[in-house]
Amino acid sequence: MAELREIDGLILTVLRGSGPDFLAAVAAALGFDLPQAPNTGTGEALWLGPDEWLLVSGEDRTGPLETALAGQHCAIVDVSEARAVLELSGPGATEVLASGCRLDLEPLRPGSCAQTALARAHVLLEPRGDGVWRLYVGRSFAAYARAWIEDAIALQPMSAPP
Amino acid sequence: MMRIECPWCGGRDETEFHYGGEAHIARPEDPDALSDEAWADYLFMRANPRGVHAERWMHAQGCRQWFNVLRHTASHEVVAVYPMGAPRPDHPETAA
Ligand SMILES: [Zn+2]
Repeated sequence: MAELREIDGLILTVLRGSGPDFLAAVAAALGFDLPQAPNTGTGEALWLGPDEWLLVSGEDRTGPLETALAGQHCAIVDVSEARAVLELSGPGATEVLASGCRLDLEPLRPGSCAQTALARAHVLLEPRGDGVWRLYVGRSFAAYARAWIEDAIALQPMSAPP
Repeated sequence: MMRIECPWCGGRDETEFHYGGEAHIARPEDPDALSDEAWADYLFMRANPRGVHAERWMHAQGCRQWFNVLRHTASHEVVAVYPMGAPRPDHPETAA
């Protein structure tokens, strides 16, 4: 059976900006380039839009970014408390998601991500490999999303069809 | 259910998007110079064709970007997707 757990303690930062100066300063501060292709991510930086990323880390990113981007037109916002991070894993995890999500999940591989709706709630999906999915959900939707996913897990057949 | 091709994210269900009304409605340069009639025309009067319609959409549950769409109002066929600020593409069924 698939399992759902909440991951605490991650520091989430929304970063917005554009242009070569912005990208160079961010790369210098973070030590890696921001993903440029839509719906891709490294795990540490997930593409949200052509000028918007979600940074996921164990340490505070806002200080170094504020220093590196001083004077530039950009936004650096700590959203750690605003998003709940859920992890869905185990047999049938993908089927559980698919039962409430119209996006084709099959082509999604580690290194990609997608924002979409899960049971109408906005969610950022990140496949972590081996059928493990990370879900970033707005804090105010988290209780609903958890309850919905627990229900969907209970509704899955006990064994995979032949 | 319509499928709309987000220029960034690819094809997604209509429910992920917000509709933004008719495209290419330019705000008058000098609203004070307009008659009440002309101002009302800018604010309220919109095309309502049976056919291809230029309209704005935003990928609300995705990348949150705005873009323009040519949609056939009878068949809901999306015949073109193009960036904000770009001129309306020519289309055989386009009755201006
Ligand atoms: Zn999009």
